[in-house]
Amino acid sequence: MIQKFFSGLYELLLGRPLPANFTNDYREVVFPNTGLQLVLITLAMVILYYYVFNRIMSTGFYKTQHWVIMLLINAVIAFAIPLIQVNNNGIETHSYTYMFAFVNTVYSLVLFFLFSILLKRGSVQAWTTPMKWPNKK
Amino acid sequence: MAKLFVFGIGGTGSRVIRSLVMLMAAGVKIQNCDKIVPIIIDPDTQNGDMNRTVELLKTYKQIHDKLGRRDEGFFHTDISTLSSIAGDGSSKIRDSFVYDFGGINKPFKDHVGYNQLDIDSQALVDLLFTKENLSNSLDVGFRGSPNVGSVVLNEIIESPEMRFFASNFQAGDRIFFVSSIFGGTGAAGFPLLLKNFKDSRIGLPNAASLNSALTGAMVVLPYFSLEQPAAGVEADFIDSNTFTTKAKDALSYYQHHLNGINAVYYMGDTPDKPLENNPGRASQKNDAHLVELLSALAIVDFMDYTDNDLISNEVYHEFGLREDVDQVQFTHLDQETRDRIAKQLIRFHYFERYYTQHVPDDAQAAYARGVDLMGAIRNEPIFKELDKFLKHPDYGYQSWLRELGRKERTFAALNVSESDFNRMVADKQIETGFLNKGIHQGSFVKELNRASESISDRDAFRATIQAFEVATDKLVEEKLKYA
Repeated sequence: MIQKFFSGLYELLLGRPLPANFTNDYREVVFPNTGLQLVLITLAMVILYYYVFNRIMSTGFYKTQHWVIMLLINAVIAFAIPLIQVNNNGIETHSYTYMFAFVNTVYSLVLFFLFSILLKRGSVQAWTTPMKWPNKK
Repeated sequence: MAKLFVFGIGGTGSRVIRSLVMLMAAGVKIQNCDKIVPIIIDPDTQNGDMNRTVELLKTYKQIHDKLGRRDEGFFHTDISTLSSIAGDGSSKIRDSFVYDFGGINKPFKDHVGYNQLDIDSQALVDLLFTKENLSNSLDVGFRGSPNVGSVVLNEIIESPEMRFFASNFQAGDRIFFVSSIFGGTGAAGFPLLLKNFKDSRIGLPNAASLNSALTGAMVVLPYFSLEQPAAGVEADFIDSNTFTTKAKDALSYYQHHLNGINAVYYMGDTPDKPLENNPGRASQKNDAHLVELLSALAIVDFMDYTDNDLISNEVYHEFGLREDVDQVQFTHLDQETRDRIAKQLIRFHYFERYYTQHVPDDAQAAYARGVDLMGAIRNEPIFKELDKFLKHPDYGYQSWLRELGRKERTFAALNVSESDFNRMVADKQIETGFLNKGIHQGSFVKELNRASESISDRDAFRATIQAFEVATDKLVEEKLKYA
């Protein structure tokens, strides 16, 4: 189920994994691992930003630029995850690998934004970051 | 709905009311009344002291009205003009904080019809009044001459304003007079008004309520002197050398003739550097003085008494500092006084400093974004009123505080020019270290955001003021730890 979901998600933009002899490795190991890590790490980053930095600790990192910094850090991590996964599973590096990393980065941006919108209301200092919508108060 | 009618008589009356407004803005609680009705009595319609107090009162009222009725917090005390106390728009008098003298601009001589008097009466008038008294125009006030003031002010009891005041006076309302004893308007006005209010034969409406009304007075003894013109120079001036003599005479009169008063407060100080000698009009705009701030506390103290306390015995107070110091800090005030004003003034000062210096940088902070504070500051007139109250060069809080620091004996409890919150309170500074930065923009905004979380009001002005009330309270209690 998870394998199918993440394979479908990545192959939607990337097409069939290359080189062809590693297609199954991608589908059975790399895509699900990368996808799961992406979701968990992004969720952790959002929680770190809204609930640790801007609720428990109240660090003052509540501005949009601070949110963007977290988004970018998450994006860098998201770019690195596929490369590490590919490397750790003995898969030959290919231009596909970098495209995969790029797509994972794009997904990280979308996911970070979505989690932000869903979770920001619980933050004291940053519930209006990056924007007030959809919360009213 | 008990009311307190505060009669601010003359320049000192206006200046004390100015300080009272600052205390009310800071949230100092005035007990046992729901509304304060300041009535400024000064024939000098151009008087600088009076006009800036009136502007301040108007600004305060707008801010209070926007914030609505509350039991505590900044600007929570309700104030009203005399004409609006009826509440039904039925009043026929001018809607103003100032008693309307109707533009008396003739010399005193014409006012009393000197030229129409017979020769014996003229001789009597000549005996009681100097040539200058007779020829001076009344639109500048009485130039420190209570003998002139007592004649002119005796007539105001018949005025529509006083009848309106009496008609709307209810059992339970209180009266407080603020006046100087050494000038003209105040020295004459206070005993006259008191006598008339307490005299049932005068024929004012509600005479019984007025007669039995709890009444207090702040009698300001000499606390400043005025520059004297050089010998031989012809100048229109008030002779401050007579202040002490006049004060002694008036006190002696009060000793035997002040009937119907429940509490009297006295305050004075050794005059320091003489002030510019301006007998009246716009140029009479003296710097705020510590004595005026402390005099305003008399009103707070008077209202702290319950009805029974005041009915059972008359009380007399004289203000004293703990130490005779030039730079008066909160620690130099008696603990009771300190408890009444210190925390409130510190909180208001924090609010003013942060609001004027840092709020413009907080566009992205949750407390500001949540109510679109920046848009509201640009577009809503009430924020302009708040700006005026805090920053107006003539009557704003900043200038009031600066003026209080210009005399030899200064109110130095709050460091006016200090931008570091940790050093703003003279007698309590916050120790900072590597891990503890005390109160700074970051910690302030954090408290504002926290405070705004629990505020359900969506109005930007009300929500912001409430957030500042909660935040400054927390900062004073937890960071400054002021006790």
